[in-house]
Amino acid sequence: MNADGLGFWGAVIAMAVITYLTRALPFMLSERSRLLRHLSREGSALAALGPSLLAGIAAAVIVPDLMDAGADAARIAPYVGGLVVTGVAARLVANTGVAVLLGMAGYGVLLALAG
Amino acid sequence: MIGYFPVAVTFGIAGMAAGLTPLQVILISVFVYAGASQFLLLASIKAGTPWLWVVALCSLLNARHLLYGPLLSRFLPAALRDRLKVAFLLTDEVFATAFNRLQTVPPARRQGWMIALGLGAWLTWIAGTAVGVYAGDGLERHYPMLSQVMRFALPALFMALVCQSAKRGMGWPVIAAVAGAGAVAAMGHTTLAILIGAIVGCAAYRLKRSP
Repeated sequence: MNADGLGFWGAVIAMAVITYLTRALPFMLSERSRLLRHLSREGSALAALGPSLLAGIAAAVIVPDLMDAGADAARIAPYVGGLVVTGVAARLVANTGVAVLLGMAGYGVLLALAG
Repeated sequence: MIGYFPVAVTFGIAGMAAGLTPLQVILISVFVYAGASQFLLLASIKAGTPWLWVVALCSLLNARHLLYGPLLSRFLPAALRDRLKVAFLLTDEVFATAFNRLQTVPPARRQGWMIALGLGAWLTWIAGTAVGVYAGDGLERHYPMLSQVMRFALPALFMALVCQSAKRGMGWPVIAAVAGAGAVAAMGHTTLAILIGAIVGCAAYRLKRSP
């Protein structure tokens, strides 16, 4: 995807509309709607869709970086170390932003030590 | 709202690192206003994913929002017009806060309470993005090593989101999704990897719950 073309803005507008519709649609449907009851059902596969997609995106972002680094320990060690710091922070603090900032700080420190 | 700020700053920094202009990054936060989808957009720019795929993946990622309306309906005013105003502001965090607190707010004040909560979170999101865009750029010029650290914001964000979502019975589905998507991504198919991750994770969840 190119950030300069019309396709970029088309994607942004489409994402904005879709995001709004997914939030607004349930208010437009009857509370007795079979679709809504199906989606709200305990154990619906939809419950796993969000976490699974996030996991897929994480792998798609992280794996190519690791492949690019190859066997270069000076690049891989800080990257993996930063991910570990982020993961531990995410489990310990509920705030995602704080976990990301701690992970970035950990990556920076490890990068400086490796450099 | 306090929790939103660091994530928004991270989005601003990651957006600049992805090669977007400051206006592009800020307008995405203004109009899309969905953290995971916005970071998906950045990941897609990095991976060169076709934009139709990005929109399709965004739809799947946002499908969870379909659950919020039915759960909040009984606390909100009956007028559809009022509900549609609230809908734009209904993010994961706003939903979680409203679901826990809205029943303690007197019914007559609930619409105003929801709008105040949602607007506060939206403005915090936009302000945090702007701080990330402009402060991030200044820091990068004065401290070049920070450029490399800023590019780590995107993998760190998804790592944090995955670790936090792997709770309440989602551990194995998430591990299966990472393994499936990781194998496909290692073969160079990053867009397909996201879809495979979603399918493998949902299948693992169904298998886990089947008697």
